Amino acid sequence: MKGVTVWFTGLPCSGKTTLALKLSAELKKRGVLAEDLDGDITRKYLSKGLGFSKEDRDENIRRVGFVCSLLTRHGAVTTAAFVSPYRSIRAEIREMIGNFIEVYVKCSLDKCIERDIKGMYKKAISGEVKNFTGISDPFEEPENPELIVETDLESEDESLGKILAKMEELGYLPTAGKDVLIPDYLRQDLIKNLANQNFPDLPTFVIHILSQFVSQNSGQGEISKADEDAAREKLKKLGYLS
Amino acid sequence: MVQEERTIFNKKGKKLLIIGLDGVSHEMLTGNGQPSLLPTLNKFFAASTVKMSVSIPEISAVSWSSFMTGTQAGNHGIFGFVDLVPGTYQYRFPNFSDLKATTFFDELGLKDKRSVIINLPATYPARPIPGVLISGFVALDLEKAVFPSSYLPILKQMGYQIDVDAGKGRDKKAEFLADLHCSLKIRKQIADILWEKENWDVFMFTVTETDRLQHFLYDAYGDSRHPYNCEFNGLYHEVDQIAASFLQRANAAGDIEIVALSDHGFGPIKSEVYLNPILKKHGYFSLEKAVTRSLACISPQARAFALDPSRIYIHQKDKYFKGGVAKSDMQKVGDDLKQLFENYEINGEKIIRKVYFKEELYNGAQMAAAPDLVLLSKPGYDLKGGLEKDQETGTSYFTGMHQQDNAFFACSSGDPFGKPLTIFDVKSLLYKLLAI
Repeated sequence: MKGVTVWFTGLPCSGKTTLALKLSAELKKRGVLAEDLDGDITRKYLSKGLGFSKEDRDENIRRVGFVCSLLTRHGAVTTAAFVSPYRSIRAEIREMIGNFIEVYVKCSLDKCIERDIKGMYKKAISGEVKNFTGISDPFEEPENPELIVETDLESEDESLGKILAKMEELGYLPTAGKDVLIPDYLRQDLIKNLANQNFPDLPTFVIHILSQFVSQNSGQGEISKADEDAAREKLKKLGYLS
Repeated sequence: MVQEERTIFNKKGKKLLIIGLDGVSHEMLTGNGQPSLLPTLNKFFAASTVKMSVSIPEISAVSWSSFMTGTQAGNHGIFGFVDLVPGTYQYRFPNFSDLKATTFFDELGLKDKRSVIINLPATYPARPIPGVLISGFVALDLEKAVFPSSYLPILKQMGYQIDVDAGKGRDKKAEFLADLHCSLKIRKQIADILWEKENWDVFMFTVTETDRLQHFLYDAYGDSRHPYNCEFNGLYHEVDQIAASFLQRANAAGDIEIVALSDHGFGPIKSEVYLNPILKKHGYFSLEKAVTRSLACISPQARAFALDPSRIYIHQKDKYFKGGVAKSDMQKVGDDLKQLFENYEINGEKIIRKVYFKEELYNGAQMAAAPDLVLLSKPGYDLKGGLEKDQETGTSYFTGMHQQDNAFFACSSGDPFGKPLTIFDVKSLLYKLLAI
């Protein structure tokens, strides 16, 4: 499967991290190799010491973008939830990463303030916190994101569904309900068995197993003694059984 | 004007109509210098009809299984209409759920392509497929022969018959012929409904009435003095009309490739040849109780036995509980059997074309179930296990027999083959036609 970075951008408290974690959990449930990065983690380990000036913010995003590009190159689906308010740096990391889905997590400022349990907006409005996006620093809305989710108008599950659908549409996820992702431990076991079964490839082997299962469990595959006797008679009448 | 090269390898993805004609030989389709029995079909395919060789043994269960999976029995596991329960002498009847390789319609389902499969032998009991399946021979119970079961009521209502009562072919020929026409007619009516109702990518309609007819009335083929010659030609005329109707529809739709094929050829019987009596005469086979003609009564001294139609099994120690042939002697016994059958004569004529060791015919995970040797007879000599027979040869009410190397394959995109075609090649050709 192709790696990709799903980049969530939006105002503080717009719901980026919530959606990114939900997406990551769903992907892991489907057996996809997924990793999530968000501001709290990277500020602690990757960008310690950087502040919130435009220059420092850009540098933070650049470093995160680099990590995303490595993960993406190695086939992981990386969810990255960052305010990332400036178009220019978002464009820069889009180019750096390549397989990139920009999700604009759109939410009204009032709703964001309402959700702010840490009281950061309050501090920004009072001037206690400087350069706060949406209050004292601009948020440059994406001009052409792959997807917009409106978290003040739709439920988390609706937004998640839209993201998964977009990933399927762009070919980063098998289509749900048609293809089933097999967890790696089972996959390895099947491959080990495949060597002894002489099936040309894994999908063929899996189809065979599932077909057998379905026919056995539907009762359709059962041939009774009476059926066997009837088959014997039919075959004898045509000379296929002497 | 330079004629555009007709090849199937440069086609875009299309729909595909497959017409299966059980037991129809290349000669019957092309006429081989005489009028074709299927003039419309023959004219349509014109020069693109080729002879095709099929599985050995050349029986429908094995051949159609090879057609739908694109592989031989060592992989798909269907070696005959009957097999033995491993480690015993008890017969079992392999069915669709025993098929160990994946069918083209299952694989096409992975590519979101749906198939309608009507009357394909060796697909009973029907199981879910991506599309619609109406099982063919040896289907027994209509309830278990249809997927999805939502089609069952209409099939019942229309009086759909999986197969005719072949017993009538022996002594009630007029009734038998009427039944063949009737089952064919209703099968076509069902096909018409599915053609319109289903959203399909592959549509396969198999005619098995041709095979049934020929087992009992092959002697009527080409013999204008035969009392059933008219009826023989009449059934073929109906098959040709059905084919014509499909061709017309496919051509009207404009984006449908068409393939027609048979699973084996046919020819006249000179003599039936019973293999167990031959083995017995030469000291390879015996029963413990001469009055009970069951393989369960095989003597521990028996070194080999035969299963229909032409499969020879060496009575191996550890494989069969009464078996006495040590592994170290297998090759010697096999060589001796090969020599015995290669030199077997009827009226001074050697009647076996080739004796195959299993390794020459099969490979794959199902090899353990394969017969040790398989015989291919010369035309006219119909091989049978003949456990219940005393004599080595005989005749019966059957007048026609299967032939391995005169089946046919024809394709609307011209002759795409640079080598002799086998039934194992067909699946990949279908994929090429569908641009897969």
